[in-house]
Order: sequence, then structure tokens, then C-alpha cells
Amino acid sequence: MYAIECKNLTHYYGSKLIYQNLSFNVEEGKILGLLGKNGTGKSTTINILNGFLQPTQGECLIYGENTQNISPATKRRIGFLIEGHIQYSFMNIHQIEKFYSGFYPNWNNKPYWELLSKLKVTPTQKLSTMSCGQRSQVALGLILAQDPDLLILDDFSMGLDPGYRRLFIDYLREYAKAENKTIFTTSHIIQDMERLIDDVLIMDYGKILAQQPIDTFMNRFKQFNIKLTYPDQEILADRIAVNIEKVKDKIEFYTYATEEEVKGFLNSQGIVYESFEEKKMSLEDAFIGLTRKY
Amino acid sequence: MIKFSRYTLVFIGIIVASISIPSLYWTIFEKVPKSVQVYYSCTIDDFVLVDGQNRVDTKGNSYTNDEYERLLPFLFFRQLIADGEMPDSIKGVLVEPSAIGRASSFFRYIPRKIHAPQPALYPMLESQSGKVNLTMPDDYFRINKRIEFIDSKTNKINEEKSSLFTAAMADKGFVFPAAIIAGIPSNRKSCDEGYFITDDQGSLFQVKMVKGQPFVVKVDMPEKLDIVYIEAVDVRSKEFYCYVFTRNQGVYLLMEDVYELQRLPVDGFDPETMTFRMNSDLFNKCITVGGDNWYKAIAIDDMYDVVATTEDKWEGLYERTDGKVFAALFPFEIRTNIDDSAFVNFYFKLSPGFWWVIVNVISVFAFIFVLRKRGWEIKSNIIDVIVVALTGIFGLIAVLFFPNKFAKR
Amino acid sequence: MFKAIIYKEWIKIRLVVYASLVLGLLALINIFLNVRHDILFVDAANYWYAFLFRGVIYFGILKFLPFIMGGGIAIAQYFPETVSKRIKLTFHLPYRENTLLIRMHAFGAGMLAAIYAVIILLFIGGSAIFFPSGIIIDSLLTLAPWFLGGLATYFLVALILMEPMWLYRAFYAIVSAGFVTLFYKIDSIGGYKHLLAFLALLTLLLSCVVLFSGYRFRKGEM
Repeated sequence: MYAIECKNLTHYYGSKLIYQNLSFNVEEGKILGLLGKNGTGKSTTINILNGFLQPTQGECLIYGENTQNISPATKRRIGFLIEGHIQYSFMNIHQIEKFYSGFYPNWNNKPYWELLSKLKVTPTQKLSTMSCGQRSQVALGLILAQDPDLLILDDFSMGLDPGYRRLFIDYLREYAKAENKTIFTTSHIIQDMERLIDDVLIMDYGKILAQQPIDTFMNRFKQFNIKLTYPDQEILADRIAVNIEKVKDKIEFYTYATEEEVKGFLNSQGIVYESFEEKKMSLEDAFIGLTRKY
Repeated sequence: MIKFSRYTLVFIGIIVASISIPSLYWTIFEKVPKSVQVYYSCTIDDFVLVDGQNRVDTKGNSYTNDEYERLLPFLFFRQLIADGEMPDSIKGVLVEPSAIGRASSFFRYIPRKIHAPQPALYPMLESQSGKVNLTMPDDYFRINKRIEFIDSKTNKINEEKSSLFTAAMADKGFVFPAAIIAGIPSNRKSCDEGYFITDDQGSLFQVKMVKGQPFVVKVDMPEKLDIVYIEAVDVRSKEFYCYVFTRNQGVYLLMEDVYELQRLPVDGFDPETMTFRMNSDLFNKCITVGGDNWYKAIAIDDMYDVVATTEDKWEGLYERTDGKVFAALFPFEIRTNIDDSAFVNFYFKLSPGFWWVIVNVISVFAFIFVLRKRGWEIKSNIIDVIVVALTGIFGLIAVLFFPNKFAKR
Repeated sequence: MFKAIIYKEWIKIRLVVYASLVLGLLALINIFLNVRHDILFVDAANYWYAFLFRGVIYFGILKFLPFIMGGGIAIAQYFPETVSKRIKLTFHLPYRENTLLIRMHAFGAGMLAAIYAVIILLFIGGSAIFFPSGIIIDSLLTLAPWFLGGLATYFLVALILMEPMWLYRAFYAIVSAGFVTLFYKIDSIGGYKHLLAFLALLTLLLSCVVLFSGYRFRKGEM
């Protein structure tokens, strides 16, 4: 059963194509991270998911309902964190809790007060006078209290210092796994994702580069550092090489293939090398390897 | 609901555009319209027509300023006396300044007078106080199902006085409430003649206060008149009390003391659209009725017999260049203020002719061009296209300012 | 849920509501202190005369108050929703988007109307001390377009603020300015008598136009 199904999404801003025929699904109970460089359509996707944007073609379904027209009952099952932890900053923490509690029958304010007890804020302090980190905890606390089945988190790490980020992620993962929640999230800071997500969806301009469980991805996607004997030798890109970054005689070879396959490929091309070693990658390295540096 | 809210906005946009754009056009391009003042000269027994610095008679003779003043000795008698040019007698009649002053009066009616808010209350002056000066009373009256006097000191109805006047009016056959109440609500007049009031049946009465008591006269009408406007005047000749305007039944003077309605020799006068002027002097009355681009002048003697008439007509607004261009650009306009009314309203004016159709068609093409450029279907914008076709530039602005987001690409 | 909606709207606009009431009361106190003073000095008969035949109005200070209040409440209510596109949060609430927006709007317009009602009732009460009904009715006819204009201002400022694109905000502002001016053309007593019903109808129609920019927002114009 899928929490989110997007089929054949195509979107243009004016005449500028963002992506074409994009399809992906998010399984219930999974935490999916959407990665992509700026301008590849992360925000566009989030906006379509939340019904704030009508795609030029195609559709997204959340729990089987078109996101352009989600019923209040289904909206109640979706927790939405806006980029930058935007909330009604003219309220204080009591007012905002009282406000939201009126909309959700399953409202459970325990996690909210639990998160907020760690912050040094006064009961009458307006959100607008709080720090970014404090606001992020309020925003997250509200979503947790709402007790949604699906959480859509748009760039939750923006503006947070490392401490808050860690706090946020650890709390979130523990919560999601304990309660079998589905999470769809984006973040600029890919390091964070590694600790949080089950599945990764990597977007490039106009297409999806990878969608798979993060463990599979990290195991299969490899980087080999190769030192060439003759720096002038060029390596032709092949199906086997996802990306090749060459600086003088040093080559970073990114691939889904095994070491043997790569070596076989190099031999078949007549490439002579001095050294060949596999480099252990973090998710961030893998992301850059996959999407190129520029 | 959302589509409805968009059409509301488009509608509002069209209203605003059809008020402000024409208003801007006229501010920039409107030409001063021709207007002619007409007098009747007793020295040449002919009309004198004044159009700016041009002074001519009906035979085409033109006059200098000095000659012109001599043509109208009653109008310019102070100047003529100062110049030593004032004749002692005209047509064998000895003319004295006091007699000239008594005989001269000036009156002007414009349609705006019947389209104006009326005061809620009127002061009833004492007409025979025995004092030289008239004084303003402390109370004001209104007429609904009776006449009520309200004391301004206490803001309460004076029941006694109200009953007294109500009874006196009812006694003379007044059917409450009143339709028109006309008087001179001021103490700056030579004497007080109270109010000229039409009742619910259209009958005309005079109501005034004499030594604290009501004085009511019912005026006999020669025929049933549909009176639309009465203006009380204080003419020094004491010839008549007021001007009475009817709907297409002529203009009358209510003569003093005899309470007879004297019909003026003006036919086809429409108080809704026409202006009326009357200048009186020792020998004649000169009446001018007119509209935007025409007038008709009638000179009468003191027996109200016609002695001369003249008329003229010139280019109307939409026959002039500025009006023609306007009518070619815009299918209509809405004015909030017009000369003929003191009320703010949406006065809709359709442009004459059909030249504006061209601009409307161009607007439709411009709109379709924009639709194509944005990749929108024309079919799902068909209502917008019709709106533009009907309202031209105004509609084009409105549908572009409030774009149709429901249309398909 | 409706209570929760009102709760948030009230937090946003309460200061402006209080300020409007205070401003209205101060204006009324000013008006009637002046009337009392002038009547003492020039006599009621002359004071009435000035109103009846010279068109001197004693409540001119009220002219732009409804406009300021309408604009003020609309800004207090909708500006915070547009900062950082917070309206997304509102639209994400488990409620039909249009119904939600209409309820928010009805509450704001209702508060504004309530403020107007308080001011007008007190105005009638105060006037009744000094003036007969005819003068009061004519005064109300003169005030009516100003207050209608205030309501129209509320609806149009909401429309402008909720519009996601600056270019269209400018377009709406031009039309709105042109439209709202129509309510303030002249001050002559009863001069709007014949247009009032139509202006009231147009204002009523305007009550739902905020849905238009709300819809544009939801369909991703930005």
C-alpha cells in the first residue's frame, strides 16, 4: 500500500520545463528522502503534494486522493512542515497549541510539551521572538501532537544549528518507527538524511536518478579512485560509468558496477593505471558523485 | 463560487474602467462648448445674441461693446448713466432708475434643480410681524401625514401649532402628505409669502403664517397640471410669486394676489432635459429655453403676448471632433456626476453610431492573441471573449487584470 | 473547529478592533461636544438652518474612519497570512479551503460591521438629543456610502493581500482605488440617495472575491 503515488508528473513554469513524466511512490511506514540540487524541482514536488500547485500534467495521490482536492479527513492524516518552519508567529506556544487542537480529534499534546520543555521559552512569548531552532521545535511538536500518518517535511534542517538538527532527527526517527509513520522529506544537508531515511529519491534536472532503499543504494553505488599512468588517456563514458570526474591523472569513477567489471571495462579500453582503489562514500559523496559537482 | 467571484471582479473592473478612462479622455480632449446668451433689445426691437466677445442681432449686424451696452439700456443703465448716455425716455416712456430696478428680474432653471436632495425641514416665517425686518423662527416644519412644527430649542414637536396648521390646510382641501414644498427659507427678502406646496393629489396651495395664524389658499388650476418643480421668487415688481414647471404641460407664473396661473408661451418644454431663462425689464420679458446645442428665444410684452422669436442650433457633442473620436473609441461611458443632476449615480451613456465596433473587434483580437500566447483555450474563455466584444477596451482591461485561471491550456 | 478558526482570527485583529472602537468613540465624543458647544453659541435654529440649507454637516470627521477601519482589519487579518506564505498552513487545516476562507472572511467582515453598528447606533442616539428625525435620516443617508466604502475596502484589501503575484496585486490595487473612490465623491447631504442600493449590492458581491485570489494562490500562481 502506498501513502503517496505520483504518476507522470510534468510541470512547466511558463515555458520552462521543470520535469517530464516523473513517477514515484512512497510506501506506507517508510521514510523517504528527496534529494536534488537547487532548481531540480524539490519544492515544486512538495507544492504539488500539498495541493498548492497544479501540475501541468499528471497527478499525485495521497491515500488514494488527488492532491488537488484532498478531503478534510485525509488532510487530518497529513502533517506538513513548511520550509523554514513557518508557523503563525503572532501566537505564543499556548495559543498555537489551543488553536491546532481544535482541528484534530486525536490531538495529543504530550510530545509537544515534551519537546518544548527542553526549550527556554516563556509561556507568553510569541513565536516571532523565538530563535529559528526554538521555532523548529514548536513546528515539529505541533505536527507530532497532530499524530498524522504521513509527515511531509520541507527542508527541515534549514537554519538549524547542529545540536537542534540532531535533536530533531533522532526524535523524528524514533517517533516514526515506533508509530509506523510515513515520512516524505527534503533537506539541503544530506548528512542529516543518512541518519533518518529508509529510501532515497535523487532528482536531477528533469529526471529521477535513483530511487531505492538507502542501504541498497550505498552498497551498490561505488567510487573508485584511479591514478592513470598516462594522464592524456581519455576514458569514454559507458553504461558502466555513471560519472567520471578527471583531474590530470586522477580519476574518480562512479558506478553501480563491481570492481571486476570496472577493471574489465578499463582493460577493454586499453587504459593503463598505476593505482586502483575503492573509496568509502558518505551519502553526500554519493549524491555529488551521482549528480556531478556542477 | 470562485468563477462567480471572478466575474464580480470583472464587472467591477468594467465599471471602474468605463468611469475613469472616459473621464481622463474628456479632461484631456474636451473642447469648450459653444453657449449663447440671448437678450431682447427695446431700442432695436430685436434679440441680441452674445457668444463670447461676439455680439450680433438676428439680422447679422455686429456691435462693439459700447454699442451693445446702449442696446440694453435697462441691463446697463448704471454704466450708461455714468457715461451720460442714458436716455430720459424710451419709446415715449419716461425711464427712472427706480422703475428700471423694480421691473428687472432674472431667473434661471436647470434640470439639476429637480434632481437634487430636498431639505428635510423648512422654517415658516411670520409674514406680518409688524417689524421692518423679517426674523427667522425657532421652529421648523415638515409635512407627512400632517404638518409638524418642531421647536429647535427643545427638539420637540409643537403639538398646538401643528394641529392648528394641519386643520387649516385640511380645511382648504389639502391632502397630506406634500409632494413639492417651495419657498424662500430666508429673512433676506422683501416680504414673506410663505410656501407653495403641492399635495398628494397634485393640487397647489400657498401656506403662510400671518400673526401666528395659518393662512392657506388653494390655487385654481385651469386644467389638471402635473407639477414637477416650483421656485418661489421675490420679484420687486410684485407681479408673481413663483415659477411653476409641469411635465410637458408648459411653464407658468403664479400671479400675485389673484392666484392665477399665467401660462408662458413656451411649448414642448421638458424640465428633465431643458434649461429655461427669463430676463424681465420694463417693456419685455425675454425667455430662452435650450439644450446642449440649441436654444429658442421668445420675447413677450407685458401682456404676455409674443413679440419676437429666434432660434439656433449648432454641432452637438458627438458631431464635434472630440465627441466623434470618443464615440469611435468607446462603446459607452459611465458618469458619476452629470450637469443635470446633483445626485451621484451611475449615468450610463451609450455612444451614438457604430464606429466603436471596430475598436471592440480589435480588442477581441488582442485578447485572443494574449490567450494564444499564454497557451489558453479560446473555447473555455468564450464568456470573456463575449465580454470584450460587448465592452471593448473596458472589458479587455478587466479580463486581463483578473485573468481566468479556470481555463484549460 | 469553527471556534478554533475564530480564535486565530481574533488574535490577529483584536488590537485593531479595540483601536477602531476607541477611535470611533473619540470621534463621536468630538462630534457631539462640538454640536453642543455650537448650539449654545449660535442657537439651535441657526445650527439646523446651516445643515438644512447650506449643507453644513456636523459629522464630517466620520468620513474616512470606516475606510481606515476596513483597511486596518483587512491588513491585520490577511497580512500575517501572506508573510512567508503562511496561508499554506491555513489551507492545510482539515477543512474545505473555500469554506475556511469564507468563515475567516465572514468573521472579519462581521467584526467590522459590528464596529460600524456600534458607531452608527451611538451616532443616532447622540443626534436624537439635538436634531429631529428628518435631519438624522438625511445624516444617515450621507454617512451610508462612507460606511459601505469601508466594507468594500475591507473586501478589496483582502483580495490584494491574498493575491500571490505582485503584478496582479498592482492591477487589483488600481481597480480597487478607482472603485473605493466612488463611495467618497461628494459630501452633499443625501447626494448618494439613488446610488446607495446599487453600491450596497456591489459591496455584497465583493464579499466573496477573496476566494478568487485564494484560488489563484492554491493553483500555484507565484
